[in-house]
Amino acid sequence: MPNYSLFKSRNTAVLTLILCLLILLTPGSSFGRSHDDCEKESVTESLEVLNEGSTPDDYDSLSKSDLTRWSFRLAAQNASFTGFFLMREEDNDIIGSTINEFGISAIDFIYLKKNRKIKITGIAGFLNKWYIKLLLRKDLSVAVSKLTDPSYNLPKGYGYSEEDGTITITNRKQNVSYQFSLL
Amino acid sequence: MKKIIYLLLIILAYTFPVSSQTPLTGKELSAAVATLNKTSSQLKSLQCDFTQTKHLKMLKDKMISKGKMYYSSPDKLRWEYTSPYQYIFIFNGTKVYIKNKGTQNVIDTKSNKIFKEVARIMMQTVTGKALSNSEDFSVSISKDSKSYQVILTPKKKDLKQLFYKVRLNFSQTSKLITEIRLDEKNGDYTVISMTNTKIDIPLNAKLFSL
Repeated sequence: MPNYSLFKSRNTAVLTLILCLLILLTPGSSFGRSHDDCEKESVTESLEVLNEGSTPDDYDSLSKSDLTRWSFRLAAQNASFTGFFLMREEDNDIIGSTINEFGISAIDFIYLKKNRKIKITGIAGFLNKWYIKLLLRKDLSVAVSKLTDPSYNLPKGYGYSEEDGTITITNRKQNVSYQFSLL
Repeated sequence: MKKIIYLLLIILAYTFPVSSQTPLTGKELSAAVATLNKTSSQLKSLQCDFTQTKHLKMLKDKMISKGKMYYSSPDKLRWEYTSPYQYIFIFNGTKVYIKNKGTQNVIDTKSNKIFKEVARIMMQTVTGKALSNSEDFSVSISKDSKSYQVILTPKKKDLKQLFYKVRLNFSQTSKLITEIRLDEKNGDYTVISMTNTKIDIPLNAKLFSL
């Protein structure tokens, strides 16, 4: 005869077991997720940390008034990228993202206002080379500093021009230019 | 005990809801691919309105844009945003033309591998031709009473860097694409809904240049 000493009856034990299973299999519990979800989650782990507690459904509840949108073009000798450059102020820093015309993400970053530095938090595979990231970190730090503070003096080796609302910042040494036009 | 069994059945039904979509396999899958391919391969031109919603995990935001798309076989595409801003993006052979307010740019894709690749895949995606491209994607299809849902999983390293998965919705009646969802590795995704689609209508050549 089994001993159900923790429970009043066998039925209560079965009911408790079912409730435990329900909790484990409910969406939101990691046990209820598909293989795809888990695979996706592992890839996005670094971004999850930055967005802890938010889900796509939360987007609407957030203020969007401070999202600044620029059309964007990066032009190097044998490569270029066009699309949109998006920025939002958050917790005294700026978070940003660049996407192409079809919505494909290229660079996610945080601009630390305190020391005017860019921290790249996500980058598309085709740009994911140490020397490209090094260049982008440096150049985007300069670009975002200038976009957010027009009085900022560009470091040596950088050029600036503005024509018909389009701002161009050039890294003269590497011959890479960044064009921004406010949307 | 009977009550517990009923309760268990209810819980199972809640936990594993029965999907209305039926995955296709074997002959059914081949037949669906052939049907959809037939329509896309015969496509000479296409015009539609689109609504593009980009979900940005990093910015905890979504970006909604609307516009018009024009396609002329084999390699011309005009992607024109009309709201909330005016922005024109044109692929024409090896050239990309961009117009934003007063600024115009021309880019040659010959020396730009990634640009060329994105252009090729997007053109194949919006027309449904990506389905017949077994070199780039593995294809799975399911269907319900109104539509075919196609999932394209990139095979090549270059493509895997751009997309995690591409999901296409085809209308069962017209066999044309109604929705595209581009999933990326970082959790971002873009949904492009296509409406007022017209096919094989004459398009002015001027649409594909600036």
